[in-house]
Amino acid sequence: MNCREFADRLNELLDERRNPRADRALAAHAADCQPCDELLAGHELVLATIAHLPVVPASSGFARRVVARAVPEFRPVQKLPASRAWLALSTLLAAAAAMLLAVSLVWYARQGEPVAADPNEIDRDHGSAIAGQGSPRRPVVQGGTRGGSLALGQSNWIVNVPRLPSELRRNYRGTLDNLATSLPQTVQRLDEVERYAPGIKPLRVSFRVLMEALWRAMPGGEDGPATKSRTTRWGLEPHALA
Amino acid sequence: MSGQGHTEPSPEGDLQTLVRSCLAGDQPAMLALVERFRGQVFGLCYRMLGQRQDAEDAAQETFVRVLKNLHRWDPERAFEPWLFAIAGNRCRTALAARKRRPVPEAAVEHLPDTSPDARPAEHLAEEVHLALAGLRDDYRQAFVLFHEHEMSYAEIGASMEIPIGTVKTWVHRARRELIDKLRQRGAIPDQATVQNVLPKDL
Repeated sequence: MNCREFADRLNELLDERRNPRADRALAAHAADCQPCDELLAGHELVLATIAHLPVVPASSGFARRVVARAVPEFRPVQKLPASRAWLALSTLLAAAAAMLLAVSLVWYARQGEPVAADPNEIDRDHGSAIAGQGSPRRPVVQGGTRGGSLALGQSNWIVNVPRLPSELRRNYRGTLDNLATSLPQTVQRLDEVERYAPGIKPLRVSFRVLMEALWRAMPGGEDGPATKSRTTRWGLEPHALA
Repeated sequence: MSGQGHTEPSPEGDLQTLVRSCLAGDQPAMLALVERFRGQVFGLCYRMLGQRQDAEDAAQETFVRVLKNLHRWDPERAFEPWLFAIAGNRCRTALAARKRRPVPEAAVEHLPDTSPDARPAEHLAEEVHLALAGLRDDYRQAFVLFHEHEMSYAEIGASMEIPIGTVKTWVHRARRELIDKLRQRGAIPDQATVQNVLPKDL
């Protein structure tokens, strides 16, 4: 062992809080090397002194002064009572159900209802009355003069509808408006819940993003109101979602 | 043995109960928490700042911050590293403010004399105390936390927000510098200082 190794080994043993004199290799080198022996002795003396340094106590009344300073600015953190926890859960479930309803409406709108066709058009396109067979976009329903039977497409129902019929669009908007009316109450309850459980805030943010996507998904929704006012419309104020 | 299977509550369990009571605004619990750690925190502040009044101010500030931010402590983690992190920051702030003051003050108080016939051990204790005050602040804090408060390198690293390797380096350097200072002052006998023993690149 050389002096460098001695110093490294000494530090290792002290790091492990072991007695360096108990290490045979270290003790053997120290017995043959006076500077290293003095280095070892110096460490032992200093660390023994550190362990017995007098303890200087704080002045009396220290704890009382601390609490007196801390208490005026202290806000107790109350544990969420069980009833509140159930309220939070039910509010979240209601919000999730509303989200699911909105998603379903959009999906249903995208499916497209079969539109009653002009009987004359059906006559002309008899061969293509069945959707997917030549009719470019819309499945058709034969009118009453044709026996009232539905000539529904046997191909898929996912049809590109360039524009929803106005009645369907009105119903869709009406449903979303009802949702917006009930949302402020939900939002208020969510505010209370978030004070106790900040972890659910990301759920609200996700909900807002989804609602905006639904609005845009509605035919003509791209031309809808600006994002900020739409956010307000849904009762989700921007500052509450920061 | 009681024979009734009664188990003593663990210190950690006691602490968590105490913290919960503090969070609920229970003032006796706050007093108990301060009393429990007062010695350790004040001890660190005194080693770092060298003056009783400064140490008391820093310790008081530490506990006020601890109580105000107790809700941020993660019960899954040890309490002491978090506590000493706050104490260390308060000390560093006080040291920085002290360096900015234009009028130099007496840097370090002397340790209280326990008897008029001071024995060599007490002289050495005084010398060690003064030598500690002469160390770089980071080295001193790491050294005191390791050797006086017996914290692990991992806990010190968490408390000072530095890697474990850095903590080790600082503690090793602190040991070396302490011995050098003490030898230069003649506080411990020598025939060679650490610098003469070790290669220059260490």
